[in-house]
Amino acid sequence: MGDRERVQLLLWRAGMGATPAQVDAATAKGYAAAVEDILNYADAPANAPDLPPWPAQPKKQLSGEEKTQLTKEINQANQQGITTAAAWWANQMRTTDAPLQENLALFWHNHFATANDKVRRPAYMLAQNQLFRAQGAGKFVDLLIAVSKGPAMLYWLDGQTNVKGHPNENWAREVMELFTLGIGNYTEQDVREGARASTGWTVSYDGQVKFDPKRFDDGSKTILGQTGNFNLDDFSRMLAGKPQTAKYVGSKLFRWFVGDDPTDADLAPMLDAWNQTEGEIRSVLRALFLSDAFTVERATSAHIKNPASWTIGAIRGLEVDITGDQIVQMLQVQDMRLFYPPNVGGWPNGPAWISPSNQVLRFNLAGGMVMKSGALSGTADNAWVGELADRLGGIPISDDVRGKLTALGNNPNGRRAIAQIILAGPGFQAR
Amino acid sequence: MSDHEREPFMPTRRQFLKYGAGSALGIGLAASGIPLFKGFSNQISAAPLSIPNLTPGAGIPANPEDRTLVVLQLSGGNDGLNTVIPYKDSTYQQLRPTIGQKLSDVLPITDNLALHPGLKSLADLFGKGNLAIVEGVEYPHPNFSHFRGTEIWMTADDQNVGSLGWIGHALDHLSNHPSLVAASLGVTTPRALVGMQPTDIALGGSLKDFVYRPVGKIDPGAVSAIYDYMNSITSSDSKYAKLITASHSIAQDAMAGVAKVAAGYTPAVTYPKTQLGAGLQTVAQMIHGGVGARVLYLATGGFDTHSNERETHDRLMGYLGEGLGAFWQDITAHGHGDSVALMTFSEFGRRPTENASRGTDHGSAAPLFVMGGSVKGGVYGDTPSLTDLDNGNLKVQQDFRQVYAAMLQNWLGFDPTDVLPGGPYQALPLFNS
Repeated sequence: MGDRERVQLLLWRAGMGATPAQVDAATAKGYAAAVEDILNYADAPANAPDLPPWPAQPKKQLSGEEKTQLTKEINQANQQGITTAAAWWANQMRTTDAPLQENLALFWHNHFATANDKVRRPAYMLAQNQLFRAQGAGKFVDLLIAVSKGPAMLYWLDGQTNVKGHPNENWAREVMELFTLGIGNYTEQDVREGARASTGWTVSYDGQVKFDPKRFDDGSKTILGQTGNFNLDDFSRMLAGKPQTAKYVGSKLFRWFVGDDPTDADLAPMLDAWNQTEGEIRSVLRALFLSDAFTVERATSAHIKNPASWTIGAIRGLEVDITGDQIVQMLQVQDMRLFYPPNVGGWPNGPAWISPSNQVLRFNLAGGMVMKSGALSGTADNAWVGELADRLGGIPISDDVRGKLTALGNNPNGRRAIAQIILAGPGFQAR
Repeated sequence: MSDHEREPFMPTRRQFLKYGAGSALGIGLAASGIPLFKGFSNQISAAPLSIPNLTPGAGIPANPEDRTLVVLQLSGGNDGLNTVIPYKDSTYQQLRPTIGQKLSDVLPITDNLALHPGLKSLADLFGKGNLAIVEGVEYPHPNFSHFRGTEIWMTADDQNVGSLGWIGHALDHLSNHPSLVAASLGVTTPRALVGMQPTDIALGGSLKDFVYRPVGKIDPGAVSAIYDYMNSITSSDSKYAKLITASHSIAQDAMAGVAKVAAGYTPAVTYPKTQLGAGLQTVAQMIHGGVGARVLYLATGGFDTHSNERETHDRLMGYLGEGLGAFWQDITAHGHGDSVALMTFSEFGRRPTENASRGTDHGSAAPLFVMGGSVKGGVYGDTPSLTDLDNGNLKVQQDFRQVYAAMLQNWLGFDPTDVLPGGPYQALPLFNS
């Protein structure tokens, strides 16, 4: 029984929700095998749809009318492109057989939070998103370097306009504060010098990223106490190798998969794995999932589902028949629109998602989902409420509450009514 | 967490529950200085006024309970220097050859200062004496981080990571909280409103959606009863479980009030079709609904203008000017001009020198606005020098807590002492007495 409970937790936290049958199948192999199964997906991008073509770069001076027309075409391509990409991703989360891969894509999207309202090129956003699938479980330094030189990030934090003699500090500051070291572990001098090291990168109209030596500041820089003619990759390697980065990224992984802030003891196995593998995320996660901190008791007392994990979990657990577009819209009204994090710090976490309006919203959105679940037609009895609890991740329901809920179940929409209440209740949201 | 640390309580109707880790409100820096106050009432040019005072004001309400504070957060670090512009200072154009506003476009309000061309409504309000501009505001030792900076503004604590918001903490002084004592727009509660006792109703987008819609033929009352019941028996569950059931409880309490507000209001103006415009309309609706909210909070973003700033910032200033103009017209038309004050803030201003991307990097001090019929208009404090910089940044002229002190003490009627660490701070004389 203990094994099934922990396997179920794994499939809901590392994965994004699972049916009781899936939990049973994984339990039959044992917890350690279930951990390996969820970790060992293929490090490759998924098959994404073609996005609508981007309007060609004008080859001559445009008239006012032509400019207006081009702006219109660009807006349309942007809107259609990002809608297509987001709907595809949402559907991936709903249907994937490699749920950790999609979950990590979301984790890294939240970590390297890049938003299309500034980038305005869905193809760049999708390319970054695929990077998270292909390299999200690999070495952190490789991911950091790849992200830093992707067109989306070069636009988002102004790398492509950061040139010798006129540094733009946006990337240098945020990479240290939010992507690697954490605040307090660098100086303003490091920001200014890191910006100089990061100069020289350009993005062409069609998204080709190139290094232009003429734009690169090839003088000596002093960053974090080291002096040399550093470039962007040197800067990234320097940051990725710092122990503060292991701790900062490790803590974020812990909060994402378990909840609340880790203690030093919680982090120790993760940091050991980080140090032994030069920051290979798969090994770090294996250490976490096999650690003493990854227990039902601990994880469910410290966690609140964000809008994506709440929505996707409900959909996967209840086998809700819903399109990617509809999922994206549900996330958007909950202030978690894919490809549009609110700022470079990503979305809020934990208790920030609990407010009266959020709870009313979740209740009403749950109403929409339960109507789309074939598993929920008909009346409910006491035993069925127990099955529902298992379907939604094994949430605890006391006999008292079960009795109150069952009393609502004796009508044709009884199961749906009960599921709606449970989805917006404490047990499921903390699961 | 030691027993001596304070824990914010989260609400239920029947009980207060312990929640989360609070941190002690430590001893901060001493107040950074005496505010430099300058009145400008006799230097105001007689600009034509486009905002009529449709309903004569009744004067400042004697009872602070009848006053409302609206807080508007401009997130991302608004470029103060392109908002309130020292337009006669030739250094301004030198530092900003491509993103500087042209002398001929700006809206002069004093001999030295002009507003961004998009802020016509605010220039008019300044002319009427209903707009205060506080210059050079920030916390001591700016750290240029969006997140730490926002946290400091939200908690009023620049020394420790505080858990209580400056507004939530102040509202804790009330012995009894009406269910809508404070409200914010958006799905998540802003840190500024977090208190030891329940304060905030985060209202999401539309007031009419703030109601349970159960499937099938379940009575919403049955839904409430279930959550009430869960609330009463979740004592052994996690702190977040308690928070969730408590939130349902507050929502149920507020639903009737919100429904009434949603029904009984017709805007006196057409608001701009922007997110900010819609938010300000909801705020006006709440004020007009008379639900007893002391503080209403909303945020608007996009101010992190590292590149190609002019286009973005011009658009945002236009949204701000049009939104606040419509809001103020609506508020005064409904007769609430003297009982409402609105303040803006942003986590930091931006570097005075533009960067090579035609934008500006993270900076320090910036002006903020306070508007209202009971506000004593004028410019407060010295405009930071553009030549005497601190490592390239504007020098901080006034501690942000001098503004908070005015809001708490002189407007909302709360003792600011325990809310503002490192004080006492001299309240800026922002209000008519």
